[in-house]
This record gives sequence, structure tokens and C-alpha cells, in this order.
Amino acid sequence: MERNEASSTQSKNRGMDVPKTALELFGLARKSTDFHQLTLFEDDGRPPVRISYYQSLTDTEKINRFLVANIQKNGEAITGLDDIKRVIALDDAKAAEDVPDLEKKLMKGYAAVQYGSEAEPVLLVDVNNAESGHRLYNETENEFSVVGPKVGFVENIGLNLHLLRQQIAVPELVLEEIAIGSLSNTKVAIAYLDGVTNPKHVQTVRQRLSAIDYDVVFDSSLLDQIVSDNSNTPFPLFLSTERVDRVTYAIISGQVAVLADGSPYVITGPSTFLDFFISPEDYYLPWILGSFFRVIRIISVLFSIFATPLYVAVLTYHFEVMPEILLEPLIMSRSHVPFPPVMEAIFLEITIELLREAGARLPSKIGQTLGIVGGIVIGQATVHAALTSNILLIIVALTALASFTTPIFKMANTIRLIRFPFILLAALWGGLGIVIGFFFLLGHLLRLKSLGTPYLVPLFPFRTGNLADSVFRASYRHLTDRSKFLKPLSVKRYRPSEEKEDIDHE
Amino acid sequence: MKESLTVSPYLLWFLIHGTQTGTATLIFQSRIIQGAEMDSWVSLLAVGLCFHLLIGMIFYVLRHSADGDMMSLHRRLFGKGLGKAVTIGFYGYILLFAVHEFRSYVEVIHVWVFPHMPLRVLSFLFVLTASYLVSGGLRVIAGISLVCVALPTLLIPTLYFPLKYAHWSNFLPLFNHGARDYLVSAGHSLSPFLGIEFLLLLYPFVKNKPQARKWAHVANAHSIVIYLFILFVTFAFFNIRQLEHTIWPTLILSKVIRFPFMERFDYIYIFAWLLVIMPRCCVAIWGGVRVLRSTFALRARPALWITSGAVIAAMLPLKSPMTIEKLDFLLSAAGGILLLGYIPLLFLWVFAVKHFKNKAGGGNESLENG
Repeated sequence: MERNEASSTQSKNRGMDVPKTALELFGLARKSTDFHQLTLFEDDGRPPVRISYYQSLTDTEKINRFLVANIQKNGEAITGLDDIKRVIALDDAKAAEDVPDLEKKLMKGYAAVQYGSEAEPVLLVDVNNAESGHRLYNETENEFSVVGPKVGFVENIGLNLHLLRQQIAVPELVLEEIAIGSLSNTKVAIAYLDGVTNPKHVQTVRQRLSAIDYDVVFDSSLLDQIVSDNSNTPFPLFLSTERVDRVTYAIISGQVAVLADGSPYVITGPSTFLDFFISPEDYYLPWILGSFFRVIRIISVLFSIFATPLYVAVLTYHFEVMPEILLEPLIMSRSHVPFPPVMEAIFLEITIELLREAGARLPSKIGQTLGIVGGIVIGQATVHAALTSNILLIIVALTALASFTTPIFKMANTIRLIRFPFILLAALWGGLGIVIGFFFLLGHLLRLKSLGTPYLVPLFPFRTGNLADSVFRASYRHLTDRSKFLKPLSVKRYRPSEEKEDIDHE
Repeated sequence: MKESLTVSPYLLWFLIHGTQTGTATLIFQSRIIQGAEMDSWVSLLAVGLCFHLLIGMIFYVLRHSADGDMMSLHRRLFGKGLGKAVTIGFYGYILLFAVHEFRSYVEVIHVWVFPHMPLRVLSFLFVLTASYLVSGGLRVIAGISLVCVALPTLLIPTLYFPLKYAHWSNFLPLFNHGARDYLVSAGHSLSPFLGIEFLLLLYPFVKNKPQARKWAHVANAHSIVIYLFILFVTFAFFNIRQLEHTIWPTLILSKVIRFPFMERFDYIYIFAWLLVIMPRCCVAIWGGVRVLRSTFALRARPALWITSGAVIAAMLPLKSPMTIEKLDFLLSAAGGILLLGYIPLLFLWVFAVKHFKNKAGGGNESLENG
């Protein structure tokens, strides 16, 4: 069988034969037991009305109360599909354009209504049951903050768009929809602020998304990987978050957000390296505290990457760097350990990775117990068995703790990964290896781009105009401008009042 | 030049300053005191100011070349064949520049940290790192330069520790040397300032050409300030006689620094110095790639492999530490000829050509970029 052109554009490469007529389509659908067809006025001698739908996708209440009941009540008045459209009390009712359209809508929970004996035209009525099977709220468990709203996105895109519209209540918030996935036909929305977001970014996102050929879009993170500027990097090039406030902030700063149906994570871009270390709480706390916590977070990232490699480098090659008073406890704690420092470090790091991975896969209640068992029992036992030194145990536990301060999960994982090459380099060439690793890391980061924007901006290319909200967060008085590297169409966000406290204020 | 390949003019500050500083910053004090001794800072300052003049000349020359770089200039002045030959001569200088830098740093590593690490391992490690960075293009090199200027700057406050043992009388008596002594010191002051010649290749890659000139001067001024500061600390700390027998005065200075958690701060200096030399090596290798590409119409990647391979091949036989002194001498001689001989000559030539053309009333076909 040859595929006709319309269907091949609609479902790009489904890899199967696609039904060409409505009859064929219904024939295929009838193989499933959840496909229902009911015929009204069959015995009245009047032209029959046939309704076909997937019961598993539709709301039975809607079909019974609004569709079937209304058609039956006005049985005499109906002489065609237009009359049916008039009598049913549902707003989304349209004639099907072609067979692929009919197929798509049917799979999205529409009911197909046929009048008379001929197969076409078909009226499509939205009786979709979107709520079932989805959670209705999400308390941002994975990106928790003490202060601030705890509303998170859910799997239902309709609800997510609603949440977004509630926050940005102007018509300038534009939502564009496209369908991605030859088998899933997932609804994907691009959200941006018209007149602020640079059209270039929107165009890039639109173009890259519509070029996607994929079968089932399981999660927005798949889209993230497919549209990414560089797929051979451990670094996330787009920020993905379940927090509504974060996405809102990204959109009003001139970024583009992409929502996919079935995913509670929204991706925003272009993102920069520093974006991943910003927590919404930085803005909810006074700027002094916000800056302090942000600095702590960045230091903890550096600590998390470099602490274990430094231990390995110092104990393997450069022990003369340590003062005598520090060297003594180090030697004492290592005196019974039979392994070189690198094996000891890798062993402990992998133990921590095991705990983390097991904790993430287990149900949360067991996970807590596991943490205690792993952290205390295994830790103590390994030290007693002289498999590792006390001091390394402290360092590795601290680095693990430090790596979890990163607010975005994807970046936290990356940071956990990149310490391993550093440990190996430190074991091979000591401090020199760490510097070499630093060069490779920096060289890699400098090449990365997110939607064409350099990843390390505003640090490189150095942009002085945006330093008020980078490593530090300045007071709201100074955060009036959008980041210039996003090239927004309008730079000013708000104008603070000019009143200033004077020295002779009484 | 494509817009996406160019860098902002302010990055010339880090590119040029990063190219000037290197292993010479570790040893220049004990070299330049041969001659004017504790007055040698005058020579250093004079040479630094002289380099400002040279930067001016380079920009003048470049403004009158077709593509704004050395290759087009040579083609214009010497014709196709001879122009290529002169450019290849410059390629040799670039190789010498990179080899000297890598080999001197390997020597520091050998003497201070890893005495038994084979030369070939270190050569491969450093050249491979530099090649990886260069393969990212000039933007990556500019970013590396920025970081490699910013991070080692954090080391400067640690020079406070040696200043605690300063003998300010070391500077006295002031100005009791003859012109000959100052000249000898000036000769030795050349090598810390080498690096501005890469402007001859970098210039077409800079956005907003009129501003580029300002930043090149800033870069050189920055180098002067850094060298003078290190020199002052060194003179305050060392006796001149002691300094004569010290090979790496800057590293000896850093040995004085001590923290409760760190006994040997010189290790930080040594490893951080890889940051100091890396922009220099990257710019050199990048320059080599540029020259090969435009002279032999090679593609970028083979040109990079050839240049890196040549650097490694040249380093491997240089096993003896004695060769470093020869390299030092060779580089400062070649740099001296290039900067004090060739560039003023080019300047005069271009000036004369322009003057002559203007007089003859010929069409002004030179590209006025500035």
C-alpha cells in the first residue's frame, strides 16, 4: 500500500501503513475493545446518526448528557451534520478536514459523528476527558523552597498553561502550539512574552521543535536533548524546572519556555551556566541574605568538584604541602589503609553514588532508612575495617552534601559526574592534572552555546551590565534591567520610586 | 572576516597581556640585574614604554595592509614568493616562541615538583591541552586568556608576605650606573615583553578596530605595572648578590608565604603558572595555524596538527636543562630582531611608500580601516 501525501506529512515516519479512508480507519479502530460505535435512530426509518469514540479517552458523562441526549431530544429537527452541531451543547465541534485529521482528533478524545449512511463528512466533537489519569497538583517536591509559592506544574498541559496565564496576566504572553511525535502526537507549547523576547530565540526554538522527528515524547527532557545545541556534553543547556515562579521569571526576562503535554517539567532557554545555581529563594529573601546563600552555593560547587581530587593529589604526590600538625592526623587516619588514595577515593565516591541512586529509586520512606544505614553504618564500618580514612570520609560526605545544594537537578548530577575525571587526573599528575582538567572543563564550557547564546555569559564574554544579578543578587532597586545578553526588545523591567533616604531624615 | 569569528576589542587586553606574561615572569629579575643591578627597573620601564611605541607602529603598518594581517602585508610589500618566505620565517619564530615557553615550564615542573616525570609525557600533556583549546577557535582562546589573567591576579596580594621581610635600603644608592649598564639590562628586559608581535595576526579578528589600539596599549601597560611590582618586591626581599644566583626569584618569594593549612605555597604558584603560560602557548599555536592556513591554503585541523606536532617534535630532543639557556638566548635574539629591527623597518617602508604615493598623486588603494 502506498501512503498518501497528507498522511505522510501528518505522521512523519510512523513506519506503518496509514488508513486512507474513514471506513478503513474505523475498521482498524474496531479491533480495540475500547472503541465504541453507537447508532441512533436505527429503527425509526430516519437517516441514522452514528457516533464513534474511544471510551478510554472520552468523558462518558459528556457523551451521554450533551451529545446523545441532545441529538435524541431534537431527533425531528436534524437533517444534516450542521443541525447536530447546533443542538449539541458542546463548543468544540468541527467537521473533519481529512482522514489524518480525523485520526488525530479521535486519538485525542474526540467523538466522530456521522449522519446518514455515507462515511463522510464527519463531525468531530470534543468529549475529551483530560483530567483522568493526571495529578491535579504538584507541591514542587523536587525543587523545594521554604519561602515562596509551592505550586508546581503537573502532567496536564492545559492546567500548566492555566498556571502560567494566571501569573502573567497580559495578552502579550503568547502561546504557540505544535504537535510532536509520530506515535504520541504530543501537544507542545512555546511560551514567550511578545515585545520582550527576542524573536530570534522564538524562531530558533520553533524551527528546532518543528524539525523534530520522534515517535513518543515521554517528557520535555527528551525535547531538551533533541533541540540542544550540543548533544555531546554533560552540561544541561536548557533549564528545566517544575516551579511556576521560575518559568514565569524566565519568560519575563526574555527567555522562551517550552511545555510538553504529559511532563511536569518545563524547559526554558537560552540558559547560562549561572542560571543553574540560582534559587527562587534568593529573590524572596532580602538581597543580603540572598547574595550570601548564592555565594555559599557557588563555593559549594567548587568544593564539591575539587575537594576529593585535591585530597588525592596531596596524599599521592604533594604531602609536603601540608603543615606538620595537619599531616600527622592525616597519616594516622591512613596508616592502616592498604590502598593508594585514588582507590580509596573512588571507592567512597562510588559508595555515595550508590546511596544516592538507591535512595532515588526506592520509595521515599525506605529511602530515608537507607540513607541512615548507608551513611552511618557503612561509613563507620569502612573506617573500622581500614578500607578508607576518616578524613576522606568527611571530605566525601561534605562534597556529596555540597553537590546537592545546586537547585537544578540536572546540573547537580553533572557536578557529581565531573569530579571523577578530576580524581583520575589528580591521581596521574597531581596538582598539574587538576589544572589540566580545569583547562579542559573551561575549554568545553567556553564552546557551549544555548540557543546560540554563549553559555558562560556574563562571565565570558564579560558583560558588566548584568553583574548585579550574577554571583551576587543586588537590591531590587538595581535589578531593573533585563539581561542584555538575552537581547530583549525592551530592557527595562520596572522603575523603582526615586525616593531616597537622606542623611537628615528625622 | 565573519562576525561570529571576531572578538570584542577589550579582549585584546587579555590576549596581549596573557601572551606577554609567561615563564619569563618567574625568572626575569635575575636576568635583568646583569648590568644596572638594582637600578635595572629603569631599563625595564624604558623597554616597556618603547613597546608602546612599537604597538603604535604595528597598528600603523596593519592599517595599510589589504586584510589587516601580516600575510597580506608581506604579499603587498615583497610580492608573492618572497612574501611567503618571510611569513614562513615568522612561522619559525612562532614555533620557537611556543617551544621555549613549554620547555621552560617543563623545567620548572622537573625541578620543583616531579623530577622523574619524562619530558615526553609532559610535552604531550601540555601541547595536547593547548591544541584542544586552540581547536575551539579564537573565542575560546580569548576566554581562556581572560580567566588566565583574572585567576593569577589573585596571587598578587600574597606578595605581601615577602614584603614583611623587606629591606628598603636594597634600592640604594639610586642611579649609580652608567649608560652601558642600563643598556645591558634593557637587552635582558626584552623577553618579558615579547608577545605584542601577535597583533600582526590578531588584528583582523578584532571587532571595532579603532578601539583595538587602546586595549593593546592597556595590555602592555598592565604588563609594565605587573613586572615593576614583582621587581620591587624582589629587590626589597633579595640582596643583589643573592639574586644573581637565584634561578626563579618569583618562586623563591612564594616560598615565604605560609598559612596554617598550607606549608608550601610555592606549589600553588607553580600550578597556577600553567594558567599564566597557557594563553601564551595557545596564541602562539593559533598564530601558527593562521600562518599555515593562509600561506599553504591548508584547512584548520591539519594546520593545527602540523603545528602541534612540530612543537612536540622540537621539544623532545631538548632533554638537557642547558638547552633552556640557549632557547632563552635564541628567543630574545629573534624577538629583538623582529621587534626592534623588522617592525621599525616595515614601518619606515610603509610610511615611505605611502608618502611617495601621495606625492605621485596615485590613487589611495590602501585600506583605511582605522
